[in-house]
Amino acid sequence: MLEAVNLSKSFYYGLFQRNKNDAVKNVSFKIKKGETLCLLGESGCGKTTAGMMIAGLIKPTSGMVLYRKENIFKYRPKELKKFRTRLQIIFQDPDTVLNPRWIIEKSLSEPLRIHGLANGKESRDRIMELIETVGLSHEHLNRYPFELSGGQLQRIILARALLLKPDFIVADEPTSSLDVSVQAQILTIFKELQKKFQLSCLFITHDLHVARCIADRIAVMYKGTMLEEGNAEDIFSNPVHPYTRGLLDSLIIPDPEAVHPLDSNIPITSDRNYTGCKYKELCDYREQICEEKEPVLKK
Amino acid sequence: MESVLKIKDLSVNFNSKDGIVKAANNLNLTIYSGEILGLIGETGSGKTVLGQAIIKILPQTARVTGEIWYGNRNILALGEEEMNKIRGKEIALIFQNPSSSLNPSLKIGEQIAETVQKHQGLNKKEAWEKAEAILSQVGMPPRFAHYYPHQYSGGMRQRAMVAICLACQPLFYIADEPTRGLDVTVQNQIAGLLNSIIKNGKGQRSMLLITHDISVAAALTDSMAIMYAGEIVEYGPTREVFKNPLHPYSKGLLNSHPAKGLKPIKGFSPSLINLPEGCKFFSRCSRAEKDCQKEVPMFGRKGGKHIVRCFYA
Repeated sequence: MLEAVNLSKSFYYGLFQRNKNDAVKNVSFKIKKGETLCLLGESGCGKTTAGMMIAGLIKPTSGMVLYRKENIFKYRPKELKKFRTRLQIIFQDPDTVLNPRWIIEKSLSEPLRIHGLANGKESRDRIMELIETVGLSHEHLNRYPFELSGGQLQRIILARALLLKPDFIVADEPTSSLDVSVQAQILTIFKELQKKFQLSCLFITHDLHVARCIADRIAVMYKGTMLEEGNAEDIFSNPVHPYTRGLLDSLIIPDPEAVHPLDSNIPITSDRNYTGCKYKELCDYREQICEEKEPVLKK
Repeated sequence: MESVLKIKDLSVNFNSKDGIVKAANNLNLTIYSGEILGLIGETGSGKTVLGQAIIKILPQTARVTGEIWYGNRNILALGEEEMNKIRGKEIALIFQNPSSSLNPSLKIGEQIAETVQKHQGLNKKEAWEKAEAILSQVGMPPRFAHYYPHQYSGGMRQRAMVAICLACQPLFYIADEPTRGLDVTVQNQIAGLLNSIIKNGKGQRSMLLITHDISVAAALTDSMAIMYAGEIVEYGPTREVFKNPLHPYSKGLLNSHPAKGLKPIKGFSPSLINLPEGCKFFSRCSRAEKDCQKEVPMFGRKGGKHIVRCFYA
């Protein structure tokens, strides 16, 4: 369905753009129809940049994104517009996504109008149908974004993403600003809708608990590189990479009886170390070879 | 155990143009020395308001009634000048969002030194040395005192906040969502740091931990109070509450965690302006009966310290 091939993005900054930051480096993955791939990693690991490239919002420095075997960065404008109806994005912070001066209905009808898919009554019917699927009612349509809570807004955004009947969704930390109970509501709706519409999804999160609930497969990212990829259950029951193991060990589980491995030490890592494995500074299994060569993904 | 802070019938209302916002209603809570008490609830349940009421930094529009006893002093009756002596020195607040709570134009060292200078009367040089020492206590190299907040990462800013609070070695800490918005590994570090502060206090230090994250509560707290729509609905030792949650809301909250089944509670929290009469959880409750709608349930004791505000629990 969708494939990322050796995707890399470097940002240049500083005087005369002399400094280089590899936000994403050689990331490859495939997502099948109806499948959810979860990009898991801490802040700054490049997972959002990877998501933006998949959605065609950032041009990669090298590599390509194939949607149904076609490179999306080679699309002509007309094809690109069509591609945008097929792929939708859900952003992290629901408060900043909707136009604060538009009522919800106007925000929802805009994509239909722009793509010329429906207007007037037809558009209204479509919106009504979706707004009920996400558990809201027609009275919410006449409100402004500030009148709704974070959970309700995220439902609206979910509805808007589905309006154009896409087959692929990039969800960038859709629940990280929500409470646990609201998060459960949104994730449950999301899973239902995904099943109903056969959606494929790239789900970006830093929350291991969420990843476990929602993902079919998980790709773990660290400092721009992909360290491990596999079935969600395999990653959780049998993590192979030392970083993944550390991540799982640091997970605080909601059970007061369990032993919580709280560790207040702060690991200091340097940003500018480009030779060798990215995780070498914190790794317990470090050897000479890790300093010299960057490991490649193997099965 | 000795009690450090006793909250009696505390209510906080705000006047707004749409009506009176009842942010907290008749809260009663006791925090004992040496313990970490978790205050758990969703956004808008009134938990932050309670924390702010304790050190009296609520906005001017707030109307506060009730009593907050800190030792033998009623905080609500104290004047601003006396309050300034308590804030930071005896009671410290770790704010929710370190990036907006730190002063962006002062070095971290200066911000820590400020507190020490004010409360302990040290001169500038001594205060700076003290600041560096405190920074290393929270796990950061002393040279970081020369940095500005924007040079810090999210987790380091939260450490700096903790360092400022630690500066005068207060005995009572209020931590308002200290782990919100942090990565798993960093969350773990901050939780560990808070835990070590209280546990190294030889039973003298205590903390009110305000959070919506039940996994952090499980790891850190000794007892917990669960808030819903401005009321405490359940209170008890953490282990007991987790093992045997009594209030339907507590059950729902625990079960909605992804690691515990991701079963959502249906519906939305009520608006704090038009609070329903009777039990506030009525409309979302699966066990509700007619009388729940008429009368606010009183706390019922369920063995030992475990209490719950529900007719049918």
